[in-house]
Amino acid sequence: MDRPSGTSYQRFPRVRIRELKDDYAKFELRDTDASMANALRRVMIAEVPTVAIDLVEIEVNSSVLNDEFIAHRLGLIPLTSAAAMQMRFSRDCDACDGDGSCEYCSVEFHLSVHATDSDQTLEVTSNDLRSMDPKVCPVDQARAYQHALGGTDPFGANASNENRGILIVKLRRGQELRLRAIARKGIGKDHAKWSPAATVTFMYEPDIRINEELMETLTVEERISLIESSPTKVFELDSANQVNLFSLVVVKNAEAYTYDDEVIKHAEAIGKPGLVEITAKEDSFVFTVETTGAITAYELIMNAITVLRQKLDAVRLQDDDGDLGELGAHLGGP
Amino acid sequence: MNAPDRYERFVVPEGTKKVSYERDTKIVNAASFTVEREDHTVGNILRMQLHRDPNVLFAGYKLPHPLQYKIIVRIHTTSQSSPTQAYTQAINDLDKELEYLKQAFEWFSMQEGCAVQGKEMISGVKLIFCIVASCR
Amino acid sequence: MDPQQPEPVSYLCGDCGAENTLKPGDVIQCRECGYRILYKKRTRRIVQYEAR
Repeated sequence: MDRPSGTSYQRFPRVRIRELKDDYAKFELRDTDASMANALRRVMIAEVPTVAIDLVEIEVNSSVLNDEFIAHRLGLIPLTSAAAMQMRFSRDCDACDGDGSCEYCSVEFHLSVHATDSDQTLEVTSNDLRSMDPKVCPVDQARAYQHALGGTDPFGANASNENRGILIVKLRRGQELRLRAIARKGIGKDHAKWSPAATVTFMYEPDIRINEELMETLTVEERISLIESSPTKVFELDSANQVNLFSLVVVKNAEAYTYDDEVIKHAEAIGKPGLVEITAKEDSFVFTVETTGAITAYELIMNAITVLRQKLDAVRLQDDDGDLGELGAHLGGP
Repeated sequence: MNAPDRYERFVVPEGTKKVSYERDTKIVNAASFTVEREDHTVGNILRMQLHRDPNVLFAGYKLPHPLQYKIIVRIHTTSQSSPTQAYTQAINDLDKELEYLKQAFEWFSMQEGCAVQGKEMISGVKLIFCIVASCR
Repeated sequence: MDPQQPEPVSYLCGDCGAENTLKPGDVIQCRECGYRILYKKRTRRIVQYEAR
């Protein structure tokens, strides 16, 4: 295991969560490397497991969309995947009789809609998907259920009170759709339908320094034009802070800076290079994480850390170079 | 038509080892590790951790081909250490760092619940205090 | 099993949508409206698709 000298070269990252909602999180990660930040981002997008429909058996389809089109759309419906980390991958499951659809590794769904008597177009939505396991269901069904129970509405006052669900196909009078679908655990690397992340981004935290002496030589118009030169609102004129009766330019929101260097180019253009110095702090990152609703943002972050640790564990050298390597190879991915 | 299946990116086939290594015949204390079915996610993080080890003279990784899903990590060390030692040590350190990060998040969310309002809590430092306090 | 194709197959008229059972050798014409284009029905077997 560890060397006799036992010195560890690990880093001690610091975290500060700024915002945490059900499907959105913004946090700061400090004292670690860009490779760690990027690895977390990649794992959040592609390797955190969720549950999504993988196999569709269609009995009747007289709609205007063909079978595989509907199957594709069903696959993309986000399902609540809180149980995904505990589930097994179908290919690794030894409980089922080979068809990869036992209760431990899959969830069955049924959909049966017949547009019998409406002159109106009948919309088949994710609300019509009936799950055999109540814990795994389309995300907007779960949200509507929460809302009905009197929980907070994450969308705020979003017009229609009834949640119509994700539209799958529209049916005319006489058309019918009947199918059975099996949802399995998977990762985004296999197919994007299994990715729980809507967007995951991180930026380097900017370090903005204003040269106060040079700033004092600017007139008010020049200061205003400097502030306006940045496409995002990074600076502002602070009327509370005044020197020689001129308001000082202060940094309003450092993180609105998109590393476009417009302010620096403008400063050089008016003949005052070095007025503003902006560097990116190499070990300070601001993450923005948004999920599809399949898992919460906090769960996504924690699962990403767990999955990354599992990957690193799988990559260890086996003690003997021979037989035990086979075991590691068979277990394969996450 | 010739594209490999998507699951090939992460499923190691039967009979193939996940990690294998070859010592370099011409240079002392140098080896190449071939890791099957991994990509930049693991390669880059491992490489950066190896750079922090003062006994490592050279550490790099590459993907020989984008359609062959494996990485090759090359490590040269001084005589104080060996490539396998450096590799194992790097993985251990990364594991500890992730464990620390996980605890930092858990500690932070325990303190705050939801909707943090811009408080300056440096969770890492406080965690050290907690650990130290509980050890003594 | 019938020596000549098991089970009479039913087809749908292209115009009125009525079901017509036809045996081999029958005239291809809808029994109700006389339209001469008939469509075969969807198979009874359950078709499986990967949701990809």
